[in-house]
Amino acid sequence: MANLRRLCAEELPGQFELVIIDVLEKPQLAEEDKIIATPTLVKEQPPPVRRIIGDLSNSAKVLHGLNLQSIHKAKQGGGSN
Amino acid sequence: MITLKTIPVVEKLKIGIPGFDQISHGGLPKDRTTLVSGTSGSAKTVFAVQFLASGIQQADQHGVFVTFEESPRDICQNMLGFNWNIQEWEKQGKWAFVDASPQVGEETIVAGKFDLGALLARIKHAVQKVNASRISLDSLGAIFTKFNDSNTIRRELFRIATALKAMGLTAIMTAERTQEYGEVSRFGVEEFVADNVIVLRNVLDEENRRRTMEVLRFRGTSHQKGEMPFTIVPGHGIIMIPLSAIEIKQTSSSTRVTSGSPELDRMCGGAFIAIQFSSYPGPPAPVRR
Repeated sequence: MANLRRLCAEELPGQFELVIIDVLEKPQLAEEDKIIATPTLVKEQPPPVRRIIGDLSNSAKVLHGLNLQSIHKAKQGGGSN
Repeated sequence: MITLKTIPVVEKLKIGIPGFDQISHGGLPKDRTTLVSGTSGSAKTVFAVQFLASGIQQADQHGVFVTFEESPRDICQNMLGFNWNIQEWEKQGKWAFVDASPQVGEETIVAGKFDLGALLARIKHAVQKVNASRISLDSLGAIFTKFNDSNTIRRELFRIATALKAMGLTAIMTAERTQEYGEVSRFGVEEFVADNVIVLRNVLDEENRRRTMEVLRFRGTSHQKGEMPFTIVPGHGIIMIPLSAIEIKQTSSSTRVTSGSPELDRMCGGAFIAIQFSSYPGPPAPVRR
Protein backbone atom coordinates (compact mmCIF):
# COMPACT_ATOMS: atom_id res chain seq x y z
CA MET A 1 0.00 0.00 0.00
CA ALA A 2 2.77 2.40 1.00
CA ASN A 3 4.68 1.42 -2.14
CA LEU A 4 1.72 2.28 -4.33
CA ARG A 5 0.93 5.60 -2.64
CA ARG A 6 4.55 6.67 -2.95
CA LEU A 7 4.73 5.66 -6.62
CA CYS A 8 1.50 7.44 -7.48
CA ALA A 9 2.48 10.58 -5.56
CA GLU A 10 5.84 10.67 -7.30
CA GLU A 11 4.72 9.82 -10.82
CA LEU A 12 1.18 11.12 -10.97
CA PRO A 13 0.83 13.95 -8.46
CA GLY A 14 -2.87 14.81 -8.17
CA GLN A 15 -3.76 12.85 -11.32
CA PHE A 16 -4.94 9.56 -9.91
CA GLU A 17 -8.00 8.07 -8.26
CA LEU A 18 -7.38 5.08 -6.02
CA VAL A 19 -10.17 2.81 -4.73
CA ILE A 20 -9.25 0.28 -2.06
CA ILE A 21 -11.39 -2.84 -1.60
CA ASP A 22 -10.98 -5.29 1.26
CA VAL A 23 -11.80 -8.71 -0.21
CA LEU A 24 -12.50 -10.18 3.21
CA GLU A 25 -15.26 -7.62 3.69
CA LYS A 26 -16.57 -7.67 0.13
CA PRO A 27 -15.84 -11.09 -1.41
CA GLN A 28 -18.68 -10.61 -3.90
CA LEU A 29 -16.71 -7.76 -5.54
CA ALA A 30 -13.68 -10.05 -5.82
CA GLU A 31 -15.98 -12.64 -7.40
CA GLU A 32 -17.31 -10.14 -9.97
CA ASP A 33 -13.82 -9.01 -10.92
CA LYS A 34 -12.41 -12.60 -10.75
CA ILE A 35 -9.63 -11.59 -8.36
CA ILE A 36 -7.53 -14.52 -7.13
CA ALA A 37 -4.38 -13.08 -5.60
CA THR A 38 -3.96 -10.46 -2.91
CA PRO A 39 -2.93 -7.75 -3.20
CA THR A 40 -4.07 -7.07 -6.79
CA LEU A 41 -3.85 -3.63 -8.35
CA VAL A 42 -6.28 -3.19 -11.26
CA LYS A 43 -5.51 -0.34 -13.62
CA GLU A 44 -8.89 0.49 -15.14
CA GLN A 45 -8.09 3.79 -16.84
CA PRO A 46 -6.51 4.54 -19.23
CA PRO A 47 -6.98 1.28 -21.21
CA PRO A 48 -5.79 -1.43 -21.55
CA VAL A 49 -7.06 -2.86 -18.23
CA ARG A 50 -4.11 -4.44 -16.50
CA ARG A 51 -3.62 -6.41 -13.27
CA ILE A 52 -0.54 -6.07 -11.16
CA ILE A 53 -0.17 -8.70 -8.47
CA GLY A 54 1.97 -8.60 -5.35
CA ASP A 55 3.16 -6.15 -2.72
CA LEU A 56 4.48 -3.84 -5.47
CA SER A 57 7.98 -4.00 -4.04
CA ASN A 58 9.32 -4.31 -7.57
CA SER A 59 8.85 -0.65 -8.63
CA ALA A 60 10.13 -1.12 -12.16
CA LYS A 61 7.50 -3.77 -12.87
CA VAL A 62 4.75 -1.66 -11.33
CA LEU A 63 5.66 1.36 -13.45
CA HIS A 64 5.81 -0.82 -16.52
CA GLY A 65 2.37 -2.24 -15.66
CA LEU A 66 0.96 1.28 -15.24
CA ASN A 67 2.53 2.40 -18.54
CA LEU A 68 4.46 5.01 -16.57
CA GLN A 69 7.95 4.02 -17.44
CA SER A 70 8.07 6.10 -20.60
CA ILE A 71 6.85 9.27 -18.85
CA HIS A 72 9.36 8.74 -16.09
CA LYS A 73 12.18 8.28 -18.56
CA ALA A 74 11.07 11.25 -20.62
CA LYS A 75 11.29 13.51 -17.58
CA GLN A 76 14.73 12.27 -16.78
CA GLY A 77 16.56 11.86 -20.00
CA GLY A 78 15.06 13.80 -22.93
CA GLY A 79 12.73 11.19 -24.41
CA SER A 80 15.11 9.04 -26.42
CA ASN A 81 14.36 5.35 -26.93
CA MET B 1 -1.10 -44.40 34.96
CA ILE B 2 -1.49 -43.83 31.25
CA THR B 3 -4.85 -42.59 30.07
CA LEU B 4 -5.70 -43.04 26.45
CA LYS B 5 -7.84 -40.44 24.76
CA THR B 6 -10.32 -41.80 22.30
CA ILE B 7 -9.41 -40.52 18.86
CA PRO B 8 -12.34 -40.80 16.48
CA VAL B 9 -11.74 -43.00 13.44
CA VAL B 10 -11.69 -41.39 10.01
CA GLU B 11 -15.30 -41.03 8.92
CA LYS B 12 -16.23 -41.61 5.29
CA LEU B 13 -18.68 -39.78 3.08
CA LYS B 14 -20.58 -41.95 0.58
CA ILE B 15 -20.15 -39.99 -2.62
CA GLY B 16 -22.68 -41.82 -4.78
CA ILE B 17 -20.51 -42.72 -7.78
CA PRO B 18 -21.65 -46.28 -8.61
CA GLY B 19 -19.07 -48.78 -7.37
CA PHE B 20 -16.76 -46.17 -5.87
CA ASP B 21 -18.17 -46.43 -2.39
CA GLN B 22 -17.35 -50.18 -2.42
CA ILE B 23 -13.74 -49.90 -3.58
CA SER B 24 -13.10 -47.06 -1.14
CA HIS B 25 -14.69 -49.00 1.74
CA GLY B 26 -17.46 -46.46 2.28
CA GLY B 27 -16.56 -43.32 0.30
CA LEU B 28 -14.14 -40.42 0.58
CA PRO B 29 -12.56 -39.49 3.94
CA LYS B 30 -14.99 -36.93 5.38
CA ASP B 31 -13.87 -33.32 6.03
CA ARG B 32 -10.59 -34.01 4.22
CA THR B 33 -9.06 -33.20 0.87
CA THR B 34 -8.45 -35.95 -1.67
CA LEU B 35 -6.13 -35.41 -4.61
CA VAL B 36 -7.43 -36.87 -7.88
CA SER B 37 -4.51 -37.12 -10.28
CA GLY B 38 -4.56 -38.19 -13.91
CA THR B 39 -3.25 -37.56 -17.40
CA SER B 40 -5.06 -35.37 -19.91
CA GLY B 41 -8.37 -37.02 -20.83
CA SER B 42 -8.48 -39.30 -17.79
CA ALA B 43 -11.89 -37.93 -16.66
CA LYS B 44 -10.67 -35.75 -13.77
CA THR B 45 -13.22 -33.02 -14.46
CA VAL B 46 -16.05 -35.55 -14.85
CA PHE B 47 -15.09 -37.05 -11.47
CA ALA B 48 -14.92 -33.60 -9.84
CA VAL B 49 -18.33 -32.59 -11.24
CA GLN B 50 -19.95 -35.97 -10.49
CA PHE B 51 -18.78 -35.73 -6.86
CA LEU B 52 -20.91 -32.58 -6.50
CA ALA B 53 -23.75 -33.76 -8.77
CA SER B 54 -24.24 -37.01 -6.81
CA GLY B 55 -24.28 -35.01 -3.59
CA ILE B 56 -27.09 -32.80 -4.90
CA GLN B 57 -29.08 -35.61 -6.56
CA GLN B 58 -28.73 -38.33 -3.94
CA ALA B 59 -28.03 -36.72 -0.59
CA ASP B 60 -29.23 -33.08 -0.89
CA GLN B 61 -25.68 -31.95 -0.10
CA HIS B 62 -24.75 -28.73 -1.85
CA GLY B 63 -21.47 -28.03 -3.60
CA VAL B 64 -18.98 -25.40 -4.70
CA PHE B 65 -16.94 -25.83 -7.89
CA VAL B 66 -13.70 -23.85 -8.17
CA THR B 67 -12.51 -23.88 -11.77
CA PHE B 68 -8.97 -22.90 -12.72
CA GLU B 69 -9.10 -24.08 -16.29
CA GLU B 70 -12.44 -24.34 -18.09
CA SER B 71 -14.99 -21.54 -17.92
CA PRO B 72 -18.17 -22.22 -15.90
CA ARG B 73 -20.14 -21.85 -19.13
CA ASP B 74 -18.16 -24.61 -20.85
CA ILE B 75 -18.49 -26.91 -17.84
CA CYS B 76 -22.28 -26.42 -17.71
CA GLN B 77 -22.52 -27.22 -21.42
CA ASN B 78 -20.16 -30.22 -21.38
CA MET B 79 -21.95 -31.87 -18.45
CA LEU B 80 -25.49 -31.65 -19.86
CA GLY B 81 -24.89 -34.99 -21.62
CA PHE B 82 -24.70 -36.67 -18.21
CA ASN B 83 -28.10 -35.21 -17.21
CA TRP B 84 -26.43 -32.80 -14.80
CA ASN B 85 -28.23 -29.47 -15.18
CA ILE B 86 -25.77 -27.27 -13.31
CA GLN B 87 -27.43 -23.99 -14.32
CA GLU B 88 -30.68 -25.19 -12.75
CA TRP B 89 -28.84 -26.13 -9.54
CA GLU B 90 -27.22 -22.69 -9.48
CA LYS B 91 -30.68 -21.09 -9.66
CA GLN B 92 -31.89 -23.35 -6.83
CA GLY B 93 -28.94 -22.33 -4.65
CA LYS B 94 -27.45 -25.84 -4.59
CA TRP B 95 -24.34 -25.18 -6.66
CA ALA B 96 -21.95 -22.23 -6.83
CA PHE B 97 -19.01 -21.61 -9.14
CA VAL B 98 -15.85 -19.80 -8.13
CA ASP B 99 -14.44 -18.77 -11.48
CA ALA B 100 -10.64 -18.67 -11.39
CA SER B 101 -10.29 -19.60 -15.06
CA PRO B 102 -8.15 -17.46 -17.40
CA GLN B 103 -10.03 -14.37 -18.60
CA VAL B 104 -9.96 -13.30 -22.23
CA GLY B 105 -7.57 -10.41 -22.80
CA GLU B 106 -6.38 -10.53 -19.22
CA GLU B 107 -2.85 -9.31 -18.71
CA THR B 108 -1.27 -10.01 -15.33
CA ILE B 109 2.05 -8.74 -14.05
CA VAL B 110 3.58 -10.10 -10.84
CA ALA B 111 5.42 -7.34 -8.94
CA GLY B 112 6.31 -8.64 -5.50
CA LYS B 113 5.02 -11.08 -2.92
CA PHE B 114 1.39 -12.18 -3.03
CA ASP B 115 -0.99 -14.74 -1.53
CA LEU B 116 -4.29 -16.31 -2.63
CA GLY B 117 -6.30 -14.56 0.09
CA ALA B 118 -8.81 -13.25 -2.45
CA LEU B 119 -9.47 -16.74 -3.79
CA LEU B 120 -9.95 -18.10 -0.27
CA ALA B 121 -12.35 -15.23 0.57
CA ARG B 122 -14.36 -16.05 -2.57
CA ILE B 123 -14.44 -19.76 -1.70
CA LYS B 124 -15.69 -19.01 1.83
CA HIS B 125 -18.31 -16.65 0.44
CA ALA B 126 -19.55 -19.27 -2.04
CA VAL B 127 -19.62 -22.02 0.62
CA GLN B 128 -21.76 -19.84 2.89
CA LYS B 129 -24.02 -18.77 0.04
CA VAL B 130 -25.12 -22.32 -0.88
CA ASN B 131 -24.42 -23.95 2.51
CA ALA B 132 -22.01 -26.38 0.83
CA SER B 133 -20.61 -29.56 2.31
CA ARG B 134 -18.71 -30.68 -0.82
CA ILE B 135 -16.17 -28.77 -2.88
CA SER B 136 -14.16 -29.54 -6.03
CA LEU B 137 -11.09 -27.62 -7.24
CA ASP B 138 -10.27 -28.37 -10.89
CA SER B 139 -7.47 -28.37 -12.01
CA LEU B 140 -4.49 -27.17 -10.00
CA GLY B 141 -1.94 -27.20 -12.85
CA ALA B 142 -3.51 -24.12 -14.43
CA ILE B 143 -2.88 -21.94 -11.37
CA PHE B 144 0.76 -23.02 -11.21
CA THR B 145 1.36 -21.94 -14.78
CA LYS B 146 -0.62 -18.71 -14.32
CA PHE B 147 1.60 -17.30 -11.56
CA ASN B 148 4.83 -19.13 -12.29
CA ASP B 149 5.77 -19.21 -8.60
CA SER B 150 5.40 -22.84 -7.48
CA ASN B 151 6.53 -22.30 -3.89
CA THR B 152 3.96 -19.59 -3.19
CA ILE B 153 1.17 -21.56 -4.90
CA ARG B 154 2.02 -24.77 -3.00
CA ARG B 155 2.03 -22.90 0.31
CA GLU B 156 -1.25 -21.16 -0.51
CA LEU B 157 -3.00 -24.34 -1.65
CA PHE B 158 -1.97 -25.96 1.62
CA ARG B 159 -3.51 -22.98 3.44
CA ILE B 160 -6.72 -23.40 1.39
CA ALA B 161 -6.84 -27.17 2.13
CA THR B 162 -6.47 -26.41 5.85
CA ALA B 163 -9.26 -23.82 5.68
CA LEU B 164 -11.56 -26.27 3.86
CA LYS B 165 -11.02 -28.81 6.63
CA ALA B 166 -11.82 -26.21 9.29
CA MET B 167 -15.07 -25.42 7.45
CA GLY B 168 -16.03 -29.13 7.53
CA LEU B 169 -15.88 -29.59 3.77
CA THR B 170 -15.09 -32.82 1.99
CA ALA B 171 -12.90 -31.75 -0.91
CA ILE B 172 -11.48 -32.98 -4.21
CA MET B 173 -8.53 -31.29 -5.87
CA THR B 174 -7.58 -32.51 -9.34
CA ALA B 175 -4.04 -32.40 -10.74
CA GLU B 176 -2.33 -33.36 -13.97
CA ARG B 177 0.28 -36.00 -14.40
CA THR B 178 2.38 -36.43 -17.50
CA GLN B 179 2.64 -40.23 -17.58
CA GLU B 180 0.29 -43.10 -16.70
CA TYR B 181 2.97 -44.68 -14.54
CA GLY B 182 5.46 -42.43 -12.79
CA GLU B 183 5.34 -39.43 -10.47
CA VAL B 184 1.96 -38.83 -8.83
CA SER B 185 1.44 -35.31 -10.19
CA ARG B 186 3.13 -32.30 -11.76
CA PHE B 187 4.35 -29.52 -9.45
CA GLY B 188 4.52 -31.95 -6.49
CA VAL B 189 0.90 -31.23 -5.60
CA GLU B 190 0.64 -34.45 -3.58
CA GLU B 191 3.14 -33.06 -1.08
CA PHE B 192 0.62 -30.71 0.48
CA VAL B 193 -2.55 -32.76 0.03
CA ALA B 194 -0.78 -35.97 0.92
CA ASP B 195 -3.50 -37.58 3.03
CA ASN B 196 -5.55 -39.10 0.26
CA VAL B 197 -4.62 -39.77 -3.35
CA ILE B 198 -6.66 -41.32 -6.17
CA VAL B 199 -5.09 -41.94 -9.59
CA LEU B 200 -7.20 -42.06 -12.77
CA ARG B 201 -5.65 -43.83 -15.75
CA ASN B 202 -6.55 -43.95 -19.41
CA VAL B 203 -4.13 -46.54 -20.76
CA LEU B 204 -3.81 -47.40 -24.45
CA ASP B 205 -3.80 -51.20 -24.45
CA GLU B 206 -3.64 -53.01 -27.81
CA GLU B 207 -5.41 -50.12 -29.58
CA ASN B 208 -8.10 -49.93 -26.90
CA ARG B 209 -8.45 -47.36 -24.16
CA ARG B 210 -8.75 -48.89 -20.73
CA ARG B 211 -9.87 -46.59 -17.94
CA THR B 212 -8.98 -47.46 -14.38
CA MET B 213 -9.12 -45.85 -10.96
CA GLU B 214 -6.70 -46.62 -8.16
CA VAL B 215 -7.00 -45.48 -4.57
CA LEU B 216 -3.29 -44.94 -3.91
CA ARG B 217 -3.66 -43.98 -0.28
CA PHE B 218 -6.26 -42.98 2.30
CA ARG B 219 -4.41 -41.99 5.43
CA GLY B 220 -5.81 -43.61 8.56
CA THR B 221 -8.46 -45.69 6.83
CA SER B 222 -8.76 -48.68 4.53
CA HIS B 223 -9.58 -49.09 0.83
CA GLN B 224 -9.27 -51.73 -1.88
CA LYS B 225 -5.85 -51.95 -3.46
CA GLY B 226 -5.00 -51.90 -7.14
CA GLU B 227 -6.52 -50.57 -10.34
CA MET B 228 -10.27 -50.92 -10.81
CA PRO B 229 -11.80 -50.55 -14.28
CA PHE B 230 -14.44 -47.90 -14.89
CA THR B 231 -16.44 -46.60 -17.78
CA ILE B 232 -18.15 -43.31 -18.64
CA VAL B 233 -21.78 -43.75 -19.61
CA PRO B 234 -23.81 -40.95 -21.30
CA GLY B 235 -26.60 -39.87 -18.97
CA HIS B 236 -24.86 -41.29 -15.90
CA GLY B 237 -21.17 -40.41 -15.75
CA ILE B 238 -18.54 -42.61 -14.17
CA ILE B 239 -19.57 -46.17 -13.35
CA MET B 240 -17.01 -48.33 -11.58
CA ILE B 241 -16.73 -52.06 -11.88
CA PRO B 242 -15.47 -53.25 -8.49
CA LEU B 243 -14.19 -56.66 -9.55
CA SER B 244 -13.63 -58.15 -6.13
CA ALA B 245 -16.54 -56.49 -4.44
CA ILE B 246 -19.43 -57.87 -6.50
CA GLU B 247 -22.03 -58.95 -4.00
CA ILE B 248 -23.25 -62.54 -4.19
CA LYS B 249 -26.96 -62.32 -3.71
CA GLN B 250 -28.21 -65.89 -4.42
CA THR B 251 -28.61 -68.22 -1.45
CA SER B 252 -27.03 -71.66 -1.39
CA SER B 253 -29.13 -74.78 -1.63
CA SER B 254 -29.74 -77.17 1.22
CA THR B 255 -31.25 -79.91 -0.95
CA ARG B 256 -29.16 -83.08 -0.94
CA VAL B 257 -28.79 -85.40 -3.91
CA THR B 258 -27.33 -88.85 -3.53
CA SER B 259 -24.04 -89.56 -5.24
CA GLY B 260 -25.02 -93.13 -5.82
CA SER B 261 -22.42 -94.41 -3.39
CA PRO B 262 -23.70 -94.81 0.20
CA GLU B 263 -20.12 -94.59 1.49
CA LEU B 264 -19.43 -91.25 -0.33
CA ASP B 265 -22.81 -89.86 0.80
CA ARG B 266 -21.83 -90.67 4.38
CA MET B 267 -18.47 -88.90 3.98
CA CYS B 268 -20.24 -85.77 2.62
CA GLY B 269 -22.39 -85.56 5.70
CA GLY B 270 -25.50 -86.95 4.04
CA ALA B 271 -25.26 -86.54 0.26
CA PHE B 272 -24.20 -83.97 -2.36
CA ILE B 273 -25.74 -80.49 -2.10
CA ALA B 274 -27.87 -79.68 -5.15
CA ILE B 275 -26.83 -76.88 -7.62
CA GLN B 276 -23.19 -77.05 -6.63
CA PHE B 277 -20.06 -78.19 -8.35
CA SER B 278 -18.20 -80.92 -6.55
CA SER B 279 -14.76 -82.03 -7.61
CA TYR B 280 -13.00 -85.21 -6.66
CA PRO B 281 -9.29 -84.71 -6.72
CA GLY B 282 -7.44 -87.99 -6.96
CA PRO B 283 -4.71 -89.78 -8.87
CA PRO B 284 -5.26 -89.90 -12.65
CA ALA B 285 -6.28 -93.18 -14.19
CA PRO B 286 -3.25 -95.24 -15.24
CA VAL B 287 -2.34 -94.72 -18.87
CA ARG B 288 -1.87 -97.91 -20.83
CA ARG B 289 0.62 -97.93 -23.67
